[in-house]
Amino acid sequence: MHALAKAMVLLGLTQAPTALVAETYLTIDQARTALWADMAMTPNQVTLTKAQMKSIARASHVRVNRNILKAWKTADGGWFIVDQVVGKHEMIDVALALDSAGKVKGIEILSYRETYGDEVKNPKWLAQFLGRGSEQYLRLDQQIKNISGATLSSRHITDGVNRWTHTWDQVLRHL
Amino acid sequence: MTSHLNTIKRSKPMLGTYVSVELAADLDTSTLMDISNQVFIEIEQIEKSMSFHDPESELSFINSEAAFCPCLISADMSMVLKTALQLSAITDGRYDISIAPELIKGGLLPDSGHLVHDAAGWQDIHLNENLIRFEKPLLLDLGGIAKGYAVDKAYLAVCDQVDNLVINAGGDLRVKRWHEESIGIKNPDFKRPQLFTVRMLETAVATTAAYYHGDSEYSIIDPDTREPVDDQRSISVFAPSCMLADALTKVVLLADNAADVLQTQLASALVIDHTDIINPLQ
Repeated sequence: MHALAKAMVLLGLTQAPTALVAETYLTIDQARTALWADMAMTPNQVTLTKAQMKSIARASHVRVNRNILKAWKTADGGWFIVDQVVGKHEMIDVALALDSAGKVKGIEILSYRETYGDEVKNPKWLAQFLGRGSEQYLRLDQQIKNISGATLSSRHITDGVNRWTHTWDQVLRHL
Repeated sequence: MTSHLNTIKRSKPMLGTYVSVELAADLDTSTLMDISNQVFIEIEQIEKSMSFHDPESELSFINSEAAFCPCLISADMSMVLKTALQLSAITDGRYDISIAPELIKGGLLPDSGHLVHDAAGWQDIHLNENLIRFEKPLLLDLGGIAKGYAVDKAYLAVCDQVDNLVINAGGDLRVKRWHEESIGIKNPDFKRPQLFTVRMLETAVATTAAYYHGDSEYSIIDPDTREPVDDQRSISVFAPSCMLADALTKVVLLADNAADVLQTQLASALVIDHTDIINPLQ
């Protein structure tokens, strides 16, 4: 944890580090290749209206915290999305592919952090992990490679999938 | 040491948890990606076959038919059931994969509507190579062993193609160059979260903590009291296979003769108790 503390200072983060687990996996580009190979796509960042956020939350039974969805539309009408899933203790950057019928084609975890402080509730702290910031930051904490612990359920991803498919149904399919 | 080797690390939500794969080899990234795809495909196949929740799974087929007629099962299923039944026999039933009715009554597993005999147990499961038959109506749940087997299956499918390989399915993990590796054992007490760093003692390790699962997730049932186990310890087992490591964590949690059983399986255990002290199982 000591190296992480130093890194936090270097990066100008003021909060005390309490992350127990911090892992990074594929970069956004690698995830894009893993999910879509060399399929052509164009950036299509989506800004949800308040009404859309409400209606997605109602349909999916999952809270919609952010109005911006980092997305790319593929040449065949599918989507590549980079988003974040936040649980009580975990914060996960996810890349996913939706096909042209709105079905999940694949999911890659980009980074995974487990924390036991208050950071997860702090939107500014969370924002820095989405997209470009995460890989660079998380690579600094690599002393412990493999973690064994009582199994953590991936149900927040299941919630996320619910939210994304309803986002497709209500917004993306019309774009 | 492995700095000249190319590495990739990937993670996907599978088996109800997060499965990560780390590969190191003198190969280009796209080849490593192909190898990691193979890992995920192997795990997906085991998940499909051994899922209790999926009505189309091989396990669901056995659960609905084996009380009525002998069922032909896959080599994978035969391997897992054989190991589970051996552990049941040497622990006198303290390890028992046939206790799903309690999980269903507690709302932890879905009710498939099948009849279950109240007194049915592991002795009522007859396995003969690739044929299985139940003496009484019962349900099998492979939640405490299939995850480890999935890791083994994927590991063996690709381990010869790479220099190092780590597959971690939510804490059930197997490492190729384990002699050189340490792992962090997570004590998931939310009030005092901590990582204990220890050397790998074998190629595979799994960790179980009964109190961690909470009320909405997988829990461990005591086969005698038929109540969820309330145990403050976190138990990690090192074993020659991940399937054994996974299953043996439950043996340590439940069986009085756990130390002897570990010895017969060439396994060892580390226990973290409520005072955050880590000890080998005596």
